[in-house]
Amino acid sequence: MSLKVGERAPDFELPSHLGTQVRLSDYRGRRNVVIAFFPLAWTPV
Amino acid sequence: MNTQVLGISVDSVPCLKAWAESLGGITYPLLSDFYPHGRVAQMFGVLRAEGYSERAIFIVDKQGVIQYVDVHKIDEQPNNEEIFRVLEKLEPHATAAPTRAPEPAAPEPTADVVLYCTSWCPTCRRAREFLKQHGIAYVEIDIGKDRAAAARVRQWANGNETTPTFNIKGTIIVDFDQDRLKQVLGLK
Repeated sequence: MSLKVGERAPDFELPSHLGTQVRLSDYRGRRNVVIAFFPLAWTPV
Repeated sequence: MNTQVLGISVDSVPCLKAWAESLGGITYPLLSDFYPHGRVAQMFGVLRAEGYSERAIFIVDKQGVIQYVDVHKIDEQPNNEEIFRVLEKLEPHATAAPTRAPEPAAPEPTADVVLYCTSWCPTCRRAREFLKQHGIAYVEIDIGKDRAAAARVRQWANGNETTPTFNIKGTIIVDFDQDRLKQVLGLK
């Protein structure tokens, strides 16, 4: 089951295709974040 | 809007990089949830048994609290309008601000043959070869960069940004139709 509205988003840090490390908590207090999970690159899956 | 978009998949960084390039470049970060595999998708509860994630959107506000969750069918695209509605609620003053300035109307180039294309489309590559092979001089416009030109292509192509599209002295040819091209260019 996915997380629900009102829950705290777990923090994470991942490498990006732009060569940067991105940490969710870096946006805390600065920006709203839209996180878009997608299944696999190159495929319409 | 004061919003950051982050894409996440279980693909590796080189894979995401190549994919973004094939799409003509993606300006927001695509994050690689590759190792440990799918860990972030799992934390958000959207990792499938197959080892890749659902197609899912989470909106996280500035306090780090989830304000919107949409897990949709894997073959459907997210509902952008709904996402914008949620963001507007989070940041009401952002919508009052003027939206993007209108695109400057770039004039149509006056060359005899204008090729509307993108940097990545394989058919555009074939079209360039075709024109070169027949010794036809042409001017090229990348509609991924020139949005006014993209709007012209949409007018000609029933609202689609079909590439390549040709303007040959005012005659529009949508798509790489070799027979029609030869006819209009007077080639054998």
